[in-house]
Amino acid sequence: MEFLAGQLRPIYPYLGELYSAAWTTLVLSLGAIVAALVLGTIVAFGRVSAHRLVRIAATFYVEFLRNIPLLVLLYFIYFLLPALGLRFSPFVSALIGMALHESAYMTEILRAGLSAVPVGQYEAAQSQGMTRFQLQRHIVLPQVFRTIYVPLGTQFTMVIIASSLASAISVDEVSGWMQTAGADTFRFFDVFLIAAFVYVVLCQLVNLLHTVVGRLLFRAKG
Amino acid sequence: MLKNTFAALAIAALTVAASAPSHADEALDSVIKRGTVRIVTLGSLPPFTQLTPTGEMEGYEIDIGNRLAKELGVKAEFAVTDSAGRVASLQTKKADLTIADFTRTVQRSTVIAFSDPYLITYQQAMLMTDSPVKTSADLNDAKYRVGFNRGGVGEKTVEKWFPNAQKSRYAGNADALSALLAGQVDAIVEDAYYNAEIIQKYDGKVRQLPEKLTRLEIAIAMPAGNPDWLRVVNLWIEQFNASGENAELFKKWFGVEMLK
Repeated sequence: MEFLAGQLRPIYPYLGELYSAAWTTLVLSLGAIVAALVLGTIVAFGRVSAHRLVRIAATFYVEFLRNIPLLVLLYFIYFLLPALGLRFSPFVSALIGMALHESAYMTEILRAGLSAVPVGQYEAAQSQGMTRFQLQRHIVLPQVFRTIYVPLGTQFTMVIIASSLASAISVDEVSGWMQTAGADTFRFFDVFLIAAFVYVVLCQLVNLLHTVVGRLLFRAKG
Repeated sequence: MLKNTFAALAIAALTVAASAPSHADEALDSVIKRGTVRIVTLGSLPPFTQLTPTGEMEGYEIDIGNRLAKELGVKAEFAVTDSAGRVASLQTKKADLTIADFTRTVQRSTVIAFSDPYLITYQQAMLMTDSPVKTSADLNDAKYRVGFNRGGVGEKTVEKWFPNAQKSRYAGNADALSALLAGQVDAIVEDAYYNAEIIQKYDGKVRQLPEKLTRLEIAIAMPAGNPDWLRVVNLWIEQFNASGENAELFKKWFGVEMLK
């Protein structure tokens, strides 16, 4: 124990920054997840729309964002958009980039869920006199979410892992902490291990949240 | 009888000569035996190092490496790494030397060995020409954002001179410069020679604040625990400086006189 304490002593001054870095990672990831879900739902409906132009636009959106590495997207938003008059802070740039990137994958998952809703449901709802909006809100979306809830959880973990790229555009999150603390103390090995451990904890935390919310939302009806 | 004695003496002499260790440390030994010295540089940092169109490396530091290798009687082999990799490559013995715009600090010297400096420079703030900032003291304000390289000397400089400003850490000079040009930061902190190079390249778009922030001693680094290797390199540096060869080489690549 004393050996461990001695080994880690040079890193102690940096642990305060690690705490705020971990918070940044968490907030950034959760924000991106929520934004990506909203965007993804909209685009998913676009993908199955009756209007051909809407379908094409949605398909373009998904293909474009899935074919660009997240790092390139982040660089584009942070370094290039200012030239077009759109300047976002590092955190907001990362949030936008991650939300856009994730939404493309969420769209495909949501689309799979949408197509799993039996056609009979639509007919039954119409015969009940429901409006389109009521149909989506009470019949379709709940079933979609129940179907895709588990794969969605996997995507959430991937968002946290993807947040590590935000350090490239000067966001002070866990990977950035790892590089700074490592370069200052030269304890690269120890610092890498600590960062990896923090990511595991954050992923498990989000997983737990996901499971608990799932239990609450999809309580088995007696 | 005489022939036997002579033979015995000859054998004894040869045995002693063969078994006498060279008394050099591991690093120096391996360089001499291998016939090459493995040097690590930063890659694209003109005029310290840059890539020619044909893919070879050239620059002030490449020339330094080649001249040192020639004096040692070995060949120089260059490799490229990033800021953090300079230390890592020495610690893992993947390199014998780094000649990579490396500032020597006490903290760094606890894990690697530094030669005497071959270059003195200063960190200075660089900003866009049309920026309203007049002096370095102005930048010490929470409404300004200052960019610098992660894990470099910039951390200490910004902490000391601009503690109130917001900080942005970037992976390297290129990203920090991109941030400045995109207006994501109000100023970046780099060494004066890099600034001069960029000012020249971007012809009036950027300017440098005159205040000298931190004095930087650029030196050759090598793995710690190799006193003979350090001794040899230091001897070369001393002669390289004293003979005026350094000043001449510097003038060739930078176009101005060296600072003292």
